[in-house]
Amino acid sequence: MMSRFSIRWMLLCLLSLLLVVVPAIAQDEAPESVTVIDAYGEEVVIEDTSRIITMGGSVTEIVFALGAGDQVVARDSSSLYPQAVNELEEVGYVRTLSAEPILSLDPTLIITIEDAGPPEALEQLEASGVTILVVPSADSIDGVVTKVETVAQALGLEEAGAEIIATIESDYAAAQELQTEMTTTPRVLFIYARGPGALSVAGTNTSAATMIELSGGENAVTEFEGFQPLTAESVVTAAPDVILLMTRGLESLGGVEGLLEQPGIGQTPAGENRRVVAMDDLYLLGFSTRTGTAVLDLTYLLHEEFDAPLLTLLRADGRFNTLLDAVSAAGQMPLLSGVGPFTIFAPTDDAFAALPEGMMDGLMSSTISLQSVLAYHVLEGQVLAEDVIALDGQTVQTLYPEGQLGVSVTDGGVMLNDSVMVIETDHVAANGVIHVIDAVLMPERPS
Amino acid sequence: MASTHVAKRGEFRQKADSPVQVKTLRVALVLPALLVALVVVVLLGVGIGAVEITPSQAVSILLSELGIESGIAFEDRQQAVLMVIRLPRVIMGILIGASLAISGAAIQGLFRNPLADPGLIGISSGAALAAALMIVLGSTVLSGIVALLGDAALPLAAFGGGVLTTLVIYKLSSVGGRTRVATMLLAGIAVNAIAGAGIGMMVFMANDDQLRDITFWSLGSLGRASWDTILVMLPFLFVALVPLPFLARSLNALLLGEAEAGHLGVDVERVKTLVIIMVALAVGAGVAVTGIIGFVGLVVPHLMRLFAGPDHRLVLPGSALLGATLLVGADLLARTVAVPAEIPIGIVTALVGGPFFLWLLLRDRAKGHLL
Amino acid sequence: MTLFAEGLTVQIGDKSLIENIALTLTPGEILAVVGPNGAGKSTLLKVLAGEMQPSQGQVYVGNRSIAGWRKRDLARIRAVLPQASTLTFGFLAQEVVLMGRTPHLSGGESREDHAIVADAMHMTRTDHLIDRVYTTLSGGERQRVQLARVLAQIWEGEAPRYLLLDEPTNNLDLSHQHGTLTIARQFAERGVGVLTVLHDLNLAAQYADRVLVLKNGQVLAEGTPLSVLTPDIIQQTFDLPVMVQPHPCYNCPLIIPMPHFVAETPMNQEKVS
Repeated sequence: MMSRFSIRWMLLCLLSLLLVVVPAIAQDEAPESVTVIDAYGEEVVIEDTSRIITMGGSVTEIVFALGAGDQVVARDSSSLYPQAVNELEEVGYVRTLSAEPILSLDPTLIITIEDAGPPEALEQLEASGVTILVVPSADSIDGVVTKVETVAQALGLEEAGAEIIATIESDYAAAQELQTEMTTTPRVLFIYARGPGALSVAGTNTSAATMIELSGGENAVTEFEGFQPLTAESVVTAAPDVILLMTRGLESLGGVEGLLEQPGIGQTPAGENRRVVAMDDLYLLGFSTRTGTAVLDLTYLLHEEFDAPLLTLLRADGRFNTLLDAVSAAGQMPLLSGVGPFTIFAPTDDAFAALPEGMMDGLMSSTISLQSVLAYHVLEGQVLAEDVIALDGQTVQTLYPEGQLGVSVTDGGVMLNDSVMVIETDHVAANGVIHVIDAVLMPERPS
Repeated sequence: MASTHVAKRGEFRQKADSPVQVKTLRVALVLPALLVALVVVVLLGVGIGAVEITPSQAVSILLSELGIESGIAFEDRQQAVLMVIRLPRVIMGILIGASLAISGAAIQGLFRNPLADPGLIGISSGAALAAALMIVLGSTVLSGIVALLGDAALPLAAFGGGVLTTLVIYKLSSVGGRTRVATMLLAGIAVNAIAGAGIGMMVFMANDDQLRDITFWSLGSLGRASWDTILVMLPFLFVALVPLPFLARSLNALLLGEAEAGHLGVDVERVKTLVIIMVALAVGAGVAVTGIIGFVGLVVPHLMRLFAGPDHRLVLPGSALLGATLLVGADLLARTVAVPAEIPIGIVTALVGGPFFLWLLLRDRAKGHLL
Repeated sequence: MTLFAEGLTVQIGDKSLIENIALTLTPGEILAVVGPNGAGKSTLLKVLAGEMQPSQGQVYVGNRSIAGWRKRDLARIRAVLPQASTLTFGFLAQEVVLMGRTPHLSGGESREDHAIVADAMHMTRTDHLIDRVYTTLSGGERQRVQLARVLAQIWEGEAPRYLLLDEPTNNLDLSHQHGTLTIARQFAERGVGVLTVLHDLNLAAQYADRVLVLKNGQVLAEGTPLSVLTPDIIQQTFDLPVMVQPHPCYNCPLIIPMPHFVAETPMNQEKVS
């Protein structure tokens, strides 16, 4: 029989245990609420981050980069990166939202850029109990850092946020270091094109101007603020050394050839030397997680004295995000950043999307398989188009030890393994060359 | 001199009764029928949407607003959707649909032309130009105004632009206290062209976002409906909906011709001025909040005349009811057909109104008159 | 209460459409206004109807100039039938006539108003058009419906009433021409003062109590048909020789135009008397 003393002692232990354990359990179950300062300097209390709607390409990018992509139930029409967002529900244009459809998705938190509207829709959402966090706009590296910190704090993912910020800052530092070696400060003209009839140029106080300056260039236009329609005379007066456009914009003009036919362009140093740089819209002007890297890449591309490395060309283009994610997941970034030289047959995002369902996920989850498949796309050395053509009917050894590529030249062009078409060639980099292909190459026996 | 039987009063009381009585029956039916249609559409509009609310829940929510508790449970979210989003939207649809349609009918009477619409006196183009200016220059040249007025900058600008343009056209066509309707038509064409050029200029200067803003604004939406906006707009809309029907008999007389109306004792200049002011205020206020919604002012009065004849005493109130019904219906379509996105309501009204108007014209071609 | 005007002048630029015209319209009489094209007949009518402001002179109804009258009050005692109508909306004929009652209505139309409409349409022989859509009627039919409207406007009343008709016989066949002027006569006998612009001198001679002759915007002559419709005055006004004889049936002159033709046709040969 236990003594009264031991019973009391047991009860005391039990009680203290309860006092410690129960609050701990309760705390785990109760949502942690976080207070964040929003774009207007006001405090926003965030309690539930289980169903998020993101508005604005930069915000969506940040949320996914932090690893919270699974919590996102919908996004706006301008959110196009990363690839995964394209499968999410789309709530329309961020400046003309409709409250009720958004509510039908049952969100707990909306994270948005400053431009969201109309104001009545936002009021209606708030009146319905949805928390709205407006993230401050950014037009500098510091601004981007604040953006990322705000979102990370709101989601309780400060660590992941810190990692992203570290990358931004280190890439930016790399860019600045690169700029110490630059011998020119090129005059850069940013053209916003929506087809041959509608061109405007960026003056001061634009995101484009900021990026140009961050990347060691000089905005060729300083006479006005904002955007103004392009005229032949103004272009010639600006006398840019380099013309910078968004990839979509250059496409709408019919490529470099089409651009050179526009009024005045041919009479500029940039036009005469065909110095045209195109960069993906969100990557260049998004002011988001990849901005540090974007500045680094733009520094390379703007300055003639630098030869851009392979990774820069891949990132700037905008069509190889899946490839880059895969390379990063496979741990092969350092390899492709190296001296090389390497020849890469690069499949586009569409090529990856065309893979059978589940295959990409399978690959991404098995590092070894991924490494093999990726290695299968790379040759040692710099093999230019003419060299590839010379290999007609033969096989060539790739970095994948058990993988050889069969080359055949047909009427339609160069084909690999008789199934994959080479659609672009000779994007020459400092450490290699890139040829673009329209499908993913699969080795016969992926291990 | 030729001799004729001198007619005495009352001697020839013949068929005074039957056709008049038939007409009276039609009159008696048309307005109540439209009212019923409006009620039905309003119920549908309040009950249907992206967030699911059963009819009994809807009733329950409405009752609870009046302080009456019923047994049926509903979520806070549903209550918010019904009271803060859907109900203001439907009410705005009623008000705007009614004022657009009744204004269209009045303008058609004023211009003695069944193909007229409020846009002829420059309201729409003036508002659109002001809106485009505010959208494109709001962050640069006009940033002071935006800073001062905040969210109200765009609607106020649109309203001001519309009313100002109408004023200009009115002044241009008024000489010595008399307004010439024919001159007004021409002035309207010219001013509309100038506004169009201005808008084109803004489109040219706009960046991606601004271009989308301008486009969406000019396609119309009831998305800005809230209790606050309704309250602010109410006085302007009442100006059209309440006094305008009292001008019905004068507008009837005006259809005979301005001189003839004057001979019948109508103060023609006063009627013209009143109609223009009321239409400018009502349509201006509407356009300020919803952007441009087309076809309602043109097609609805036409429909009314088709079924009830050209008498303004029927056409004015009938158009208001029919316009309200159609716009609430169009909005219902606009916000449910492509969830979660919302089709601009101007597209719905044009898609429905356009082909229907063509059909009307083809029908009337055979009859030889335009009602 | 007479309608009278003095010193009426309408000047546009340096051209006078009418100059220094005076006239009096007494209730119970028919005054016909005749003259060549461009003589200012329509202008005079417009000024009397209040459509046009005279540059000089005034029109008085009773002791007040028409500017001093309230429009509605004036409309109850003065009706104007214009030359042509531009109504393009599909009212029924009876609805058009009903509009004539506008100055008398405060709320809706009464049974009496409808009765007046029926009577007016019977008088103008347009009963069979009651339910027809106005825009489907012929020119002559429309004119008679408009006449019914105008009659309905001043169908009854205490004060002396006035009826101004601008070329009311233009589109009408022979029978309806006389029908219209007979109605004018009947209304005059009821105590209405009727002023009518006419082209046909014989109609003027037959139906008018007095005739006003205009030329070049001025009054050339004024008086009874017998005293005014003489070969001299007519020659002076219209530049056309006429023969005037007493009407075989009625107590009024009969005007017979005697135009000179260059080519002799059988019909124009001088009658062998």
